[in-house]
Amino acid sequence: MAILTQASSRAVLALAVLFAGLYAYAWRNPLAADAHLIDPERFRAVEVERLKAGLPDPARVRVRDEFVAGSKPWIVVCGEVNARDELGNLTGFRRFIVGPSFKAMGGDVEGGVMDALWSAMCARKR
Amino acid sequence: MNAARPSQHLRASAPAPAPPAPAPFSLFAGDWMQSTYADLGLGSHRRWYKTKRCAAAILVTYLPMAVLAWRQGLVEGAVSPTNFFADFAAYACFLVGLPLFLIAEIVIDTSTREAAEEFMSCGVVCPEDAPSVVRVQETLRRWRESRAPDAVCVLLAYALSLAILVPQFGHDPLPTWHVAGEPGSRHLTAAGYWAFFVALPLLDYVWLRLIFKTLLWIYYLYHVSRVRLALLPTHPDLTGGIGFVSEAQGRFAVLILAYGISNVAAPVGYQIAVQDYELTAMPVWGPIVGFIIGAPLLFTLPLFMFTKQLYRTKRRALSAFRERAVEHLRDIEKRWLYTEHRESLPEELRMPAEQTMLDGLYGRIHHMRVVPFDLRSLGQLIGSTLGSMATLLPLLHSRSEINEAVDVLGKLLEHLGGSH
Repeated sequence: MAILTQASSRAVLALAVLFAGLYAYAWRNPLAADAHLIDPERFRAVEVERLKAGLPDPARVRVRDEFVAGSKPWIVVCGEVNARDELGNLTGFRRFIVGPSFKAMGGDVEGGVMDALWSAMCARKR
Repeated sequence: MNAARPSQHLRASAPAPAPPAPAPFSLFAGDWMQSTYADLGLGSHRRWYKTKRCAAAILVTYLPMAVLAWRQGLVEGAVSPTNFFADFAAYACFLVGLPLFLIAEIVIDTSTREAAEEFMSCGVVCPEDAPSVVRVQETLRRWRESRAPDAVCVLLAYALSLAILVPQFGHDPLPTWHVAGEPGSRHLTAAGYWAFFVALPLLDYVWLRLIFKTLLWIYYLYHVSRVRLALLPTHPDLTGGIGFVSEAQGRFAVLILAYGISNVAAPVGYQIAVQDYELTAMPVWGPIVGFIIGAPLLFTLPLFMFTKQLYRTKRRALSAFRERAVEHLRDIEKRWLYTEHRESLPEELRMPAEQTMLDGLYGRIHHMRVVPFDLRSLGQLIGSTLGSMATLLPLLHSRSEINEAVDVLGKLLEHLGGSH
């Protein structure tokens, strides 16, 4: 450390102090398991909007019976969606499961697989 | 007046002063970052120092974030935005991109320095124009040692960091390891504070500084291309003797690789894996396409500044060659076709050999490129551009989107093939 000039010493010291302060802050404010997740109602709204945005003609997409389900890290929104296909025809209501890093829709995945996913991920409502 | 005359006479008879020694060229020597390296004992370019610089960068950026995230409980077993250790964009930026930027600095410094030295030492820059190039080098020295560009880079780095931070407090943001809490009372995590006020600004500063150095290099090339260059149209490098510029440009491939991994592949990968964007979404393919087209062009286009001089040199050489070749061929034909056979004189026997040499020279002049760039250097630039994007392939493969991409590419090629 003797080779450090005064300016460099000050910069290193400032970083060390900042780190120590943040470490203390992190220690005193641990985040509980789900504390940093948004509330279910808001999570539902965000995920439904994202689902709609990924479908053709988002403004006309209809969603019903949606609810938040699962537990961390697999918190998802389950429900039914009626959207238009690529030809512009309504597909009719079909089940969907959507989460921050997951999306499955009836019709896109096989019926048996969708049933299994539904029972695994949507059984536990929040 | 009379007293002045002898001194004027003496001055006139004294040997002409030697041309000014060119100031040593460098894009980095003596700048703020180099001074800091020197202060920290990391100032040399030797291998061990490179490793130490990279280690120091990781020690200041990634390691504190990891410790703070662990301390605050942002660690889980699943891939989620709230799991710091699942954020591969952070790995790409701070464990791969940042060290690559630091290595790029050393590579670029060495190659541009060598190229600038060759301009002078090979006599490409005419002696009478050397002072103007020396003046440019002096200007570059002032700019690189000025603190103003570094201050601007630091300000821009914090602006870029805030541009990422602010939306995290906006409407409906996804929960991440940077920001926690309920709407209306969201706050930065400890790791988030370090990320947005230390790590990201440092990363951004490092690459912004390299962009500034690249602009300085382009400025230098611009001024060198404006002076009269003693180009040799028959030079074996087929670029009039300035093929070394192509090699120097090719070395910028490391910068492209680092930028592509940290600033294009990492955010795009995050959008695909964490935010669940499709490959066909504009925010995903837009940066990729822009980078693939723009990055090699950025380092190729400046070389077109030499095209005018190279083109003129080539045209002049071809014209002179034709004149000389016609004259020579006329002599040969006169001697070997239209005169009666007699014993050849030794100088006449040299004629076919000279003709062969002229043929070789013609080949070189004819193939001389008017842009000082070769395929190898272009390959380096394109290779590093595509290579950095290739880091996305495992991600796309895991989402089966690679099949979609290959299908689209296949259809495109099929269409192009069919249109011929």
